Amino acid sequence: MKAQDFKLVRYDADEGMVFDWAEPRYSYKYNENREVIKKTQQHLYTKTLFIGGNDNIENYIEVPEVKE
Amino acid sequence: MATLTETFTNIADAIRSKTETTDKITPENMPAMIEGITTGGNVMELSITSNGTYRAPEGIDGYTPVIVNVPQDGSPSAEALKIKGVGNYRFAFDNWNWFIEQYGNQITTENIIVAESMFAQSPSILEIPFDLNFDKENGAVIQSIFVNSGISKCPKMTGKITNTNMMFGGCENLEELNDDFYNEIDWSFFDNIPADNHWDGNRSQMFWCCRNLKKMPPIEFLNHGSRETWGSNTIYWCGFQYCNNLEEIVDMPIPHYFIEGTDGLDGFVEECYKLRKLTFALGEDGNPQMVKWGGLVLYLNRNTGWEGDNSNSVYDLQSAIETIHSLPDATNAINDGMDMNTIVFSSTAGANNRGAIGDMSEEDIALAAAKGWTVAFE
Repeated sequence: MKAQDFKLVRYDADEGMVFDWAEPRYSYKYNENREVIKKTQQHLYTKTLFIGGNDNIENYIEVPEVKE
Repeated sequence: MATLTETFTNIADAIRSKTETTDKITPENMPAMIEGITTGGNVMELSITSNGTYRAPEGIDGYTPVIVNVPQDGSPSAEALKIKGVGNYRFAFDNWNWFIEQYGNQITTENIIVAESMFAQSPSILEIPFDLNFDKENGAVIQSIFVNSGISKCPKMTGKITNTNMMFGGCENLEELNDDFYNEIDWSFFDNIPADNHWDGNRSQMFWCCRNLKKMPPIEFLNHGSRETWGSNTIYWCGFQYCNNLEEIVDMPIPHYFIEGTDGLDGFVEECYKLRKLTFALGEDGNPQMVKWGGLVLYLNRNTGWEGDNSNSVYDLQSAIETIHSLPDATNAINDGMDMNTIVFSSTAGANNRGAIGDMSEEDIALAAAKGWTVAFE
């Protein structure tokens, strides 16, 4: 494994908030002709992130927590 | 000596037994009824609808009759008991169990090219006492072949197969997959699918809802299909979703590239309540494998290793550390511009003597980050 040295930063979402991806992400379902038949937005919805050197907190936003 | 009345009664009884009626039969009708009785065997004609379900009787628009000659005495011929070519839905919906129950291991199969849903929705089929011999040249689609059936063991299979989506989905009697059923299967299709063909080679949901599966299926069986594919076509997508009793997944084989979609790992081990160990196959050098994975999310928080009370989770801190150490290395993919992958844990899971996942050290978290995985906690 490659040796890397970088800082890890912990981010906790504010009370009542969770992290989601800043750039919306989607999952797709296809038919046999590779045509999109369904597009569903995916959400992260986590309270804590550990961001390393390959990632950036700006890739995430805080959104209100959704209670199930 | 019988009276004339007794004689006619006996004749009428004999006619009724052959025609399965209970009606009164007059002597004038007896000759015609006797002539109408078929001899030398019954011919059962079952009809298949255009969507593949089996129904009786014949004569309905859109139905294709399947005729099986079943003699009254003795067994049908070997040819009559041979299933060739198209076998999709043949034993679906518990409609043809009589065929298996009555002729069991006299049934043979040959060059089956389509076996989609062949035994689907048949919970009363507990055993398939004949081999499944698929077409060796072009292969057979066996999508959903056993879905929601009652099998506890897979029959032996030979030949080439091309699509195993939902293969054992809903097989709730399956506790452990026998490791000899696939030894003569040709897996080459999965290793050589053309880049522009992503419909075939679907291996998703293979063990979806195998609620009583305790032991991981043989690795050799899963160790094909390392090819480019859609995110939702891989062996990971809902692969073991709802396997409530599965305890370990060790050295999980790794397909090497998800072309698009963030859901390639969705549902992988969702509601595997008893899962205490999840590791990925390492490379030959003993290090995590390099993969071109990007933007994927591995959810290990959705009732993975626990049900209802995650403080007693069997997937705990030690489990999470083992998973992280074997996580494939997506560094090259990230450096090529693909999105970071994410691994999501429940921080309070496993608050027992092996430690809560939320107590993971920064060193272990950094290990995941260094391989292109952002660690997130619910």
